[in-house]
Amino acid sequence: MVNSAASPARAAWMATLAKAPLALLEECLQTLGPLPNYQLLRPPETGLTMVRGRSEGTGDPFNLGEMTLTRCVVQIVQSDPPAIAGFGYVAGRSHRHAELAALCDALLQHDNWAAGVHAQVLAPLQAAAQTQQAAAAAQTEATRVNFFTLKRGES
Amino acid sequence: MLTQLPGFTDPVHDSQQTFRALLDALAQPGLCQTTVAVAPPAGLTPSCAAAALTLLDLETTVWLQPGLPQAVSDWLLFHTGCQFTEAPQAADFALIGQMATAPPLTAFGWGSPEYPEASTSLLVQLPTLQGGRSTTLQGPGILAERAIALPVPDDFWAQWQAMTSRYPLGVDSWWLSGDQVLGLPRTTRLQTLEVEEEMSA
Repeated sequence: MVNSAASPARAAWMATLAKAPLALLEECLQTLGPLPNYQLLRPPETGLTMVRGRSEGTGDPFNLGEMTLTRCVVQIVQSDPPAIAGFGYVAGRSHRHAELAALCDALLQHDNWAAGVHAQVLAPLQAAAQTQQAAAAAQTEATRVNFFTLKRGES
Repeated sequence: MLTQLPGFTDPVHDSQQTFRALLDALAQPGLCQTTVAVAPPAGLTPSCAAAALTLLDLETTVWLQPGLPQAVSDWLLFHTGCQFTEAPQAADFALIGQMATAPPLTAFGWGSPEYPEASTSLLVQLPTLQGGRSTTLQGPGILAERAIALPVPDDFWAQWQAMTSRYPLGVDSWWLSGDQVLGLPRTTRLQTLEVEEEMSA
């Protein structure tokens, strides 16, 4: 849907929104104050999607397995058309999360809202994701085991 | 282009109700049934839009009559994900906006003797389901006979007559106007032409 090569910024924010914890996303959206009216172009719906992978990232694609996915499309109607459509695709079954992710995607394309959403929603979510990633990395680092191979001098 | 119009407000129940209406329409040919009304894109009637949302999905192939606006295919693609084809013969469903300029019935898929169900189903939009020449129907789902007056081109009933003689091959059709739908399955035969022949003889 979003060509990551054509629009890398949008692909990045959609990923951030989809991976964010729902509670934090709700909290950040509340700091924005009253949101514009929007309608659901495609109400949240849960389904399955096939996840495909490539061995070592370069091999032929194979089907890894199916995962549960919830998607939603919202539309913000402006005074001058075209209306802005925001897409949300999130893992799991949370309809609310898909709707909020779609809403944020639409707001980020809206001239009057983009800056505010970047500062008050996207930035905290990215910071939280980085903190969590750093914590996980630190935890993994503490239990790291290094294997050494000793030269046996048989030759 | 991305469509600007939503689909069913309550996808599960709206599509179930519409499916029931479409089923009743074929079970009782010639009787009007009421579908759920959907806010349709320009070029579709509310009942045709509801029928399309109910019947079409990722695996169905649809032929749109040339002349239907781009908004129709955008809307169908977004809400159903159906595939479009240029060949009416290969389509699972054919969407006809103007009966006057539609291809003849023989242009659509009639199925094969082994798989008569692999035929095209027609969704025909009409401005109204009344006011045409009166036609008397007979067949399964009709106790004795039933009269309808679909406003269709003059040669249509002769084509239909020719098609029903090839049973089990043929097409099934829904006639849609406003929020009404009328079914005409391939099992429904005509009386009009025979009566006229007798009268002229």
